[in-house]
Order: sequence, then C-alpha cells, then structure tokens
Amino acid sequence: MDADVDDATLVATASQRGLRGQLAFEQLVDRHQSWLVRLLMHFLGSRSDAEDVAQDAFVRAFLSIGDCSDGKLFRAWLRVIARRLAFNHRRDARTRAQYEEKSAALKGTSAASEAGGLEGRDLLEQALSLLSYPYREIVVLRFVEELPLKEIASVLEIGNSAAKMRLARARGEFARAYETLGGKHGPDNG
Amino acid sequence: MDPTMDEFESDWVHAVFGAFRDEAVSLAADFGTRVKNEIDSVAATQEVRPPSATSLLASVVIESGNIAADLIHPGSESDSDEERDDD
Repeated sequence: MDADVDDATLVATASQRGLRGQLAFEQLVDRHQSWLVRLLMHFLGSRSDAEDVAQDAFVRAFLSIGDCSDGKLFRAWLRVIARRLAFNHRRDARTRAQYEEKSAALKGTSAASEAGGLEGRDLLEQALSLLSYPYREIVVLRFVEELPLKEIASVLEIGNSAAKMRLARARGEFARAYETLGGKHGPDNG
Repeated sequence: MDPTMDEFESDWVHAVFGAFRDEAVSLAADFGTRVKNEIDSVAATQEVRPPSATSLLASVVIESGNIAADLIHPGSESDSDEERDDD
C-alpha cells in the first residue's frame, strides 16, 4: 500500500480484515512505533518495558481496530490503549517496587548530593523518575507530547478540571525535583 | 484554543523538556518485525484473518452439496430423529 495513504484509510482497510487489512495495519505500526515507544519510555523509564508494552498495545489495537471510530484519530486512540497498558504494567509488583524506590529518593535529603553533577537529559530523566506515577504521566503528556489539556484529560480518562489541577501539581513537583537535583532555569512563570 | 496553552508554552518546564521532544528514539532493530510477527500469529489464531479463498470455496461446495442432498431427499429428517432416538 502507498506510503502516503493517511491513517483514516489505513484504519478503514485494516477494519475490513483479511491479508490486506493486516498489511494496512502493519503500515500503521511502521508509522507510529517510534513516538509510541518514546511515550512509553518516558512513562515507564525503560526502553525494554516500553517496547513490550508498545507491542501489546499494537496487538490490542489490531484486534479491536473496528472500535476506532475515527481513523484520523488513530494516534489518539492508540495512545489511550497504550496508556492503560502502561498503567497496568507499572502496577506489576516488580516494577512498582522500582518506582517506589525512586520516589522515596526524592523525599530523602540526600537526593541532591546523590545526583550531583547531573545535567541536560540525564538531569531531566532523573527529575522525571522522582515524580509519582500519575504526575509523571501528565508531565510527559503535556511537556513531551505537547497535548492540550482537553486531550490530556481524554487520555487519562478524567475531567478537564481534574486534569488541570493534576497538571499544576505535577509541574510543581517536577520543578522542585529539578531544582533539588541542581537544575537551573529562568524565572518561574509557570 | 485551550486557555492554558499559552501559559505553558512560556513555561521554563516546557523549555527544559525540549531535550526529550527533540530526541530520536532508537528502537531495537527487530522491534517492528517482532510486532508484525505477533500480529500475524494473533491474526491466525484469533481468526481475525478470514479463511483463504480455497477453504472458502471448499466450504461453499460442501454447503451446496448439503442443500442438494436436502432437495433430493426432502423428507429426510434422519439426523434429528436419530438424536431423539438417542435421547
């Protein structure tokens, strides 16, 4: 199938199933795999976990492609599936233990000294890893994915006002973590 | 437009995340192949992929044969009778 075919056409073709539908869906995989793994990597903090969850998300999307009512919004639809799977993945006892360990580090007074010398991307990653998971999620959706509040609310399956409140709190927690780790920035106008 | 957009566009937090936004993600070399293999496997096992043309034709032939048999022996209700006998 032509590489220029839009998502809506690919979704419509995939919905019809058959080998042609499967090939159309595989084209959707090629098109969306990079951003999806990136999103999940920032949610989960690990590329291998991100790839596992992304694979699961693609399979589930393939099986329920008929539920994607607007093919133009395939990316947004896939994002919701992936976010749910990432949330569940993170609930796994083993991964939860890792997150709790990282979150506990933020509360300790030695966090800054432990992370002394971090800068750039490493600093950003470390500060992000110190956030509680719901805050980490919303920070990634807003500041990495650059989603408007309405879409964030939709992905997180919460109301607009709840999303706005969570975003404000998450931003505050991130700013504290970033500063604690020695990050420098301009005037705090956020 | 979302009223909070401008507010966050000028936010230093938004600016520092530019490092992530500009970053190219390197996927495992076989990631796409792995996903497609999984989809292929699921399609086969979950019967998402319809039967091939050959098997579809075969099923039509069998069904046509059954209809023809019913037409030739219209009174034949032997299956259900047998079931009743078995009961």
